[in-house]
Amino acid sequence: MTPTVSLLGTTALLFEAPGETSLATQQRIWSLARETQSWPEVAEAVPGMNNLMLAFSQPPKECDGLTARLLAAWQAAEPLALAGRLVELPVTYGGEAGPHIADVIAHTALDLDEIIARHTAPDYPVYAIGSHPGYCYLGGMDPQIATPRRKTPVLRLPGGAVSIGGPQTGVSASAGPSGWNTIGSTTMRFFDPAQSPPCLLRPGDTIRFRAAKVIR
Amino acid sequence: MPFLNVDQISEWLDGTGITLLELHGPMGSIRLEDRPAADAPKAPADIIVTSSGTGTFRDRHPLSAAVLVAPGMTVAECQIIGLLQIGALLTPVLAPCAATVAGLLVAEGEIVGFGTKLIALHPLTSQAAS
Amino acid sequence: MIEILSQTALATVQDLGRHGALGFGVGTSGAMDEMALSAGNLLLGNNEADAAIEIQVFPFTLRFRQACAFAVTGADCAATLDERPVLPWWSCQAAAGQTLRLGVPVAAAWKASRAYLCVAGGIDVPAVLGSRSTQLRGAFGGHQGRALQQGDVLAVGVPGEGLRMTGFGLQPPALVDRMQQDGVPAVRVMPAAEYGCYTEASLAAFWGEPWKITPQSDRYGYRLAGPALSPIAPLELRSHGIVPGVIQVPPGGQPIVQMRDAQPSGGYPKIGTVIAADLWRLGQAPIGSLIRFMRCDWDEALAANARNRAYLDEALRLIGLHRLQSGRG
Repeated sequence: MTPTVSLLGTTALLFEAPGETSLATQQRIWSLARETQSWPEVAEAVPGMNNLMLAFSQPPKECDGLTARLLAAWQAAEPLALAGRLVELPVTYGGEAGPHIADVIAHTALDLDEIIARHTAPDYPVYAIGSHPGYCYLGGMDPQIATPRRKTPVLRLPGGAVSIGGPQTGVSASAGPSGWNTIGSTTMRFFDPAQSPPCLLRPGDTIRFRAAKVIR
Repeated sequence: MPFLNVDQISEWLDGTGITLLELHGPMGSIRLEDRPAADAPKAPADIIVTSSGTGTFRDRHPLSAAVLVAPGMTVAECQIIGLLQIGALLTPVLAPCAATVAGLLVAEGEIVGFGTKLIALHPLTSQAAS
Repeated sequence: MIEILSQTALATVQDLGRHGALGFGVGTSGAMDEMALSAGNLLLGNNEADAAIEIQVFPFTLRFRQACAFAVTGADCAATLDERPVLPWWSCQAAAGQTLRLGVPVAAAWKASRAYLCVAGGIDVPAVLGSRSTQLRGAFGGHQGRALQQGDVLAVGVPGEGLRMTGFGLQPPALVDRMQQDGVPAVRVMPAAEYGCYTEASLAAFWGEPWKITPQSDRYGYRLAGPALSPIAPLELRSHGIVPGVIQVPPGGQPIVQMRDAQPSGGYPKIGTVIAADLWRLGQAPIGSLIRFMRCDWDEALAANARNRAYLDEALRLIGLHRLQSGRG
């Protein structure tokens, strides 16, 4: 299978790695990001979930040359194993802290305790930072609790919301809109603009969720 | 040549029935005539505001439907009474003094050059202006 | 110093945006109409990217506590300085103590919804991660990371060497290049990755129908109302980077155009991207108004970027000439 390359207007290019989402692929994405960050057309190479967005400093006159170089760089990309820290987050699951838990229960046909057990079991590698300041995209969620994104995005989800969107899980770092299903809540400061770097977590770190409280 | 104080003599003649006074002397002559009001240009002359450069005359801001000035309108000194457009740049046509607008001498969108007559103004007299 | 006098909502300090922090999850923010902000800055001898106040809700009133050169660009708000009219897109001089009032935008030649109060020297708030734009999500940048409130006092920077005079203006770019389709304001769009995943009928509707900007539209995104856009098969994507202009289609079928405060990544399918050169047009489109999408390709989008750049470069050149010719360079 080949990667797909597409354009976001003249502002950025999107590279999508083929195959199932995996940590091994993500490590190659990190490697590709490091390589392309130094290219003259690229202002910023931004990893996503097994994909990479190249935000242009200046859009090139034509894209074929850039696309060819990118595909060649992907072929050559070796997995970059970023070893980071393990951070444990205490979570309050259900009730007001998890307003969409009922939708996850309905979709997965699992009960609250099973969902919590499957959500707290894995170690979640931080694949990428995105969505909003300090937000970590995590890999490694149990596919049994995957729940599609909501038909209409919620206009305001609070900071600390622990959510499931499709096959992924994540924690909101601040209040804002989201299309994910919120199952719990945690208190943790993920972003401080006064710090350098401003993010507390980075690709290569690992998160673990701990059920501190369950509201039935 | 030294003259008698003409203003003073005029003042003395005002209110008399005298319409013509001629004085002849060794130093020269003076003739003072009281003309009928209809011929006397009592009001100050119209001022014609001319273009300070080449461009397109605008009688309104491009974003606006309303004209900046219309005949009969009173304007203040330095008020913007028209615009001159060069490319994307807009420069002001300013009223040189307090006045009423007598008329616009060019149309909206007309290309003008340096010195083109743009707007005629009746200057307001100092009594009217105050 | 500038003091905000009116109760206000959604007025924020913005510049041309925060770049280089996408990897921290920080989007660009910045002015919804970057052409208006840039032009206002050029009128005042500022750097193009100096910070200004973006106003979305009117009337808006402020007091200049110090003498200050300023310009109001964007929508024509029938602005008054101590109740005397000032022209839009025009450099003006305020004396200390004077009050500037921006009224509800006048929709004459151009229906616009946002105004920019630019000041000589720019709005002086601390730069955070390289920009003075307000990052509402996360509450940093701009003025304390939030919208302006009555009573807020903002500092004004030191005017640059370039400013010696006021009393001239610029023709807004909206009047230079009117972009319309069947009488409806239009913006150009390049297809995005999932374009080919939509039904023929959906694609025909996307290009052929007018879209209404619903009241649930703001700096984060414009939610549009129109025919439901249906994929050929259900789509579930991984989270990936996005930029302002990306048109997402959530399962409900009603498109959302990501705007300046958009998050830097998302997972909804993307049918197209409004080109960067036309984002300012969309940023000015009022709530309740209609918009059309016109298909364009890479070369046309680059040409559009170049045309925007040419307007600003030409404005700078003409302003410079005007200053020289007036003898007060």
